Amino acid sequence: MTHAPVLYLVVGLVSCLVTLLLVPAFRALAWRLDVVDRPSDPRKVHARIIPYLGGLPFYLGFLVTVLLVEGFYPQYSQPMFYPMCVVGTLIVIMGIYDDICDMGSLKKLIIELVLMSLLFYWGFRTTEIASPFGGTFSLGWLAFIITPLWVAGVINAVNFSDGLDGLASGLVFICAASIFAIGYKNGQVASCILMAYLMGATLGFLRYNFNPASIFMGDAGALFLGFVLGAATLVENQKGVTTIALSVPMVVMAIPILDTILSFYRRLQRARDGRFFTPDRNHLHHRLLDLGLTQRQVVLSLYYISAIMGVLAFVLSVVPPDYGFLILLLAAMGIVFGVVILRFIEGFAHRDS
Amino acid sequence: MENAAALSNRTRVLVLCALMLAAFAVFNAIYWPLHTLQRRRAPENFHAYARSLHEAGDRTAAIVVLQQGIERFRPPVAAPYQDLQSWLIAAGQPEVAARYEAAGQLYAAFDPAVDDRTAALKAASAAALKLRPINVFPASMERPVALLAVSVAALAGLTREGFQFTYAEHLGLLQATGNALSDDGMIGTTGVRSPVNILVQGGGGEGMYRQAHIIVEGRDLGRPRRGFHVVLIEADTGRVVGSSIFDVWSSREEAERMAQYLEDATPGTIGAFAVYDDASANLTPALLERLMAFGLQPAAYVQRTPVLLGLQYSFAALGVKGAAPGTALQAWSPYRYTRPGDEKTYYGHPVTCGVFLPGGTTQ
Repeated sequence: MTHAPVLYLVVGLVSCLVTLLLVPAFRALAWRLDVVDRPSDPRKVHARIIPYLGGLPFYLGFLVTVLLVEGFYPQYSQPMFYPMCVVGTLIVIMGIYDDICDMGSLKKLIIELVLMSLLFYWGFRTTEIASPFGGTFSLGWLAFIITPLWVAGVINAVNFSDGLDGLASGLVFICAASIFAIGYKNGQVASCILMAYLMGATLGFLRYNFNPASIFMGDAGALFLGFVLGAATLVENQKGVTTIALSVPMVVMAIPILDTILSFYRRLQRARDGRFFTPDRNHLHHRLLDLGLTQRQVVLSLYYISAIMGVLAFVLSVVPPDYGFLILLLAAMGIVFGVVILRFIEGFAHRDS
Repeated sequence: MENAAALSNRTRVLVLCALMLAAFAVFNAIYWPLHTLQRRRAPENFHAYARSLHEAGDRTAAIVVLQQGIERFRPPVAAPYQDLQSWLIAAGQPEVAARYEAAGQLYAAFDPAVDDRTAALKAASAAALKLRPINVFPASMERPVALLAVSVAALAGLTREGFQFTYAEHLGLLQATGNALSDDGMIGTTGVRSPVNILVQGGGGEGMYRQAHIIVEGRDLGRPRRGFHVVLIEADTGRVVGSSIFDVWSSREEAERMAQYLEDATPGTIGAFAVYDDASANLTPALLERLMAFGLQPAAYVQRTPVLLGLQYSFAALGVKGAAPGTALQAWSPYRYTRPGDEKTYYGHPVTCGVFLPGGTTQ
């Protein structure tokens, strides 16, 4: 299918405009319903009460985007958009419940996996994974396990990164821009439409969410963004003859994914005390804040690293597999080096204090 | 705020969920009628849409939609051609209607319910020859033409043994399938005249449809191997300067290799292209660009978008390096149609392109 740059531009602009227009309305609604974030938990880094519900316009913007494509660009309408609307609605409802009633992590994970299995049933799946050494692995029946886990992993990665003003939306914007560039090069229209939507929505939201934020996207927004991002990496695989390289989105989303893996590791350590599903204050952004960086500095640093990862992912998608492996190795080494440096600086900071 | 604080969490959740569900309900109320309308108007549903227009009394629009649909999709089923033929006759355009007669008869002969298939195929061939008689063509191509015509007739259940046709009838049969045959040696509208007789046949999909023949002066350079078959021929001498097969179904690397192969061809070189099984899965924009540099163009449709090839489409083309897109001889058939009584099995049929040098043997 040939690209439609005008469509991408229109989708980006419309989703940005919907977000810009609806966020103030939902901010007012959040105040009215008292759906706010009170800085009572030590994990919270803000000092004042901030309303939630900033993420609901993402969902409404997505519905508008699907209608826009169906109405004005029917040739680009994709059969997977409607299932995404259905599952997206359920994700948003779960997020609303979590924002207000604080759903437990275990419950949330189980529901996410069930919803992603539904998505798998609708054809969102990866049956083959590109090997960094060239060629592909066939997943066979494992695809039923790996696909929901992958999307749930991306959902949680975005959700975990939503700890500082503008962090999650900015990281999603950078990821979406990188995947858009890769999709554009590879002629993946569906992926480009979804990424254009994500870029527009997150850019519009940053107007209100960048430090100092006047609204948070809440779990409803973070889960929905993560869902669209995760599901979008699978849409081009529906034809059954192409092979999606999950390694590319993995590199693009290296920062939130790494943070999720480290968080999982810490939770495993806490599991002995029966606190596996208890959140902590050791996410990457928390640790950078503890080193004395301001919120803006932390957020901008993570944007910067994520942008480099995005460029690496793009390079990975254009070079031959042999060099691709080297790039993956380089990225992994860079991440390990970054973690070691962080631990080193933290050690110094502790000693000084 | 005080009023809000008095609300229970359950009420807040219910209010917000109701709001989101209402938005989703509004979305559905707009989406489904819109989706149904767009589907009805989708190019690939041209026949159903044309019939609905015809039933509604808009006969001119029905004819236009059906003509466009046939041109875009080359459906290997009889009904669209037969409908169009009858509508055109009713509209007082019997000459135009005659163009669709042969295809309608041919695809009707593919129907397993037809008793005398030989007679049905001969009638289709005669209808094609009536429209465009070919009186002079080279004797050297008699065997290749028969070979390719048999592969089309095989779809009607006829074997070579039970298929006693004349050379002209074979040729008429190839014409009836909407193929691109030139009897004056000219390669489409590229302005280049071939120095040799060339016949190209590509069959996508499975079973007996799957084949690739590129016959240059009686020598078949096609092989029973999946992918894009390419033969490059010097336009001045007719010498074959290159012949290769690229499994574009299996990998992008093959597509890149083919793009490079075409890029390296000298301007003015004649390119013969045939697809065996499938060559669409990894057809990259770069490869499409190189093919378009041979005068080919995305003339088929998949999901409302012009494409050169859909999945398992049959495809054959003859072009010239440096020609403008749309000037080459190009034939295709989609692998998405079903036969009456068997809605589960999809099929297309092999398609043929060819240039014949004038001044051959008179039949």
